[in-house]
Amino acid sequence: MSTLISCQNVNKFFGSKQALKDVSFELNVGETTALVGPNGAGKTTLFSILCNYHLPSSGDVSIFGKKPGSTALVGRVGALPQDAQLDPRFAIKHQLELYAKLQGFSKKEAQSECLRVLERVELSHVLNERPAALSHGMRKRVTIAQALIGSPELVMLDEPTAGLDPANARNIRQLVMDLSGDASFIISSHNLDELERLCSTVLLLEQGNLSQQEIGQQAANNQQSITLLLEPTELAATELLTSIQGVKGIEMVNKQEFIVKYDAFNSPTFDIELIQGLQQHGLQYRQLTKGLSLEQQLFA
Amino acid sequence: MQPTTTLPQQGAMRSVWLISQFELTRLFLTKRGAVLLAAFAIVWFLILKYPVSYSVGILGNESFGDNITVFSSQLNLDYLLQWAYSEVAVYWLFAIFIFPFIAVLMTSDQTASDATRGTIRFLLLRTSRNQLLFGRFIGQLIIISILIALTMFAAFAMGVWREPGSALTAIPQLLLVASNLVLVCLPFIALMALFNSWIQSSKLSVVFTIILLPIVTGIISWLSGHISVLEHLLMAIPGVQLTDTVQMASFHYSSITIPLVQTAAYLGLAQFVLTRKAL
Repeated sequence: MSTLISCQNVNKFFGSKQALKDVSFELNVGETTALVGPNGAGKTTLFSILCNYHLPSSGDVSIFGKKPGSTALVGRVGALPQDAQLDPRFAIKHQLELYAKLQGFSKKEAQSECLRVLERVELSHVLNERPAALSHGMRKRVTIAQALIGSPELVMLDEPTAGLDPANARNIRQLVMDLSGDASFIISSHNLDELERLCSTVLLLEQGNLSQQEIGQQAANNQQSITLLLEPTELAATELLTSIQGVKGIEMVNKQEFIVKYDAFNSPTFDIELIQGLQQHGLQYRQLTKGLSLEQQLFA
Repeated sequence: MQPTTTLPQQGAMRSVWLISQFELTRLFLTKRGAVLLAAFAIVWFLILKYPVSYSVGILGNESFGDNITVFSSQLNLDYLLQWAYSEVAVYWLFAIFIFPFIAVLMTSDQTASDATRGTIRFLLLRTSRNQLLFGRFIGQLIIISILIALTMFAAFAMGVWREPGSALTAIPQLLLVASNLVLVCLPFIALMALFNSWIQSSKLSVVFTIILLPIVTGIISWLSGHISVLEHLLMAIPGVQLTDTVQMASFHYSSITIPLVQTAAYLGLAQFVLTRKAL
């Protein structure tokens, strides 16, 4: 598998504040990667370095073997930068067509490509509108559309669903899932449920320090756990769960959420037994997840 | 969908040209551009209606051939009496001092608002910082050149209307006027590109140029009175050659070399700042 992004010992200082501390990681082509971390952890700084908006203070960064900002990457990398806005003075069509032409499309090709990407975000009807005439969510979707011009091999999305209503957020997630076979994605978000569904790799940034985890691999190592979300109940859920056959331990996350530990070797059909046990004890479940949730993996 | 493949060199030139073209639409198709054009048209309507249309009388004045004081300099403008159209001559006198200000005002937002808004980030995914800088500069240069051409031909048309027979004789003078005006404006446009890269505010770029430059010029002039070698610093100030250019109105060292070197230096500095700046 070829390398998509390579970061080696990247540091970034803003004055005396160090935003990124010796960050090193490698991502492979085809992966969908989550970039997570608390506010101020350095996510947007790392994004900005990958997009060549910021230069690293030290260290090496390459995308497809090229330096960020290299003209060889034009058309291969698309991005949704955080808080970037389109020019309010020009129609959407006018701006997206310019971007397409800068990527090498002819005038006619640019027109049809502009329409294609707007259709992908279900906004082809705003082609001739100016950004000021659109709602926040629509503007966000248009900026996601610009990231898809030319079907880039790598798409970096900084907070793609922030500010979107649930229906549109779902559409964007669906869009990423649809395209994930054809393009690699890096998605920065605070919505861990969303990232869990979309991504195979997690880059966790905390105070400028980075750790890298495989979501699938992590789940495989924790097959002794099931994360259980119950409907609200007056029953003593912890005791009842402990009494279910095969349960090795219960960890209470909150009043409704539990991590149920079991022995996968001795109880290969534990998930079925768990559901049966819940039914016997009169407990209704809302969600049952094999392994730890991303939130549990990262922050527990 | 994949675009038509272009060679990297063609791609770079094409990007610069596409960005330049977009600048034209920025002036001619946006509200801000329309307001600037309206203000420009009013100013030039007044200049053409009064001083230029009464140019025959102005140049015919006996005292005109003598020294005229403009900006505290003694200007010898006798050569203007030889020009085919007095309208073009008077236009030249106004344009050479007005167009630098127009260039500053009209080209004050090359990258500043895009950088503030974040629009520049969409562009930088598709073009290099150098291409963006030079594309915007060339676009602004084309705009100013168009405005120079429009106003100059208006003055010329007034002259031809009065005396059609001398139209051909005036062509060398028109070329000289147009070339000199573009040369005069070049460093001001480049200076706006530099200030935009540096302070990322079109308003501050204008303030720096219109307020700070005369102050800096005054300080250098005062200091050079004490330390004569400092006089060379004036060569960095755009428009330093204006009084020489207006007196000779021919292609000579100061009217060509000084603005070209200043333009190259400002653009070089702008490129240095922009390629290192966080955007």
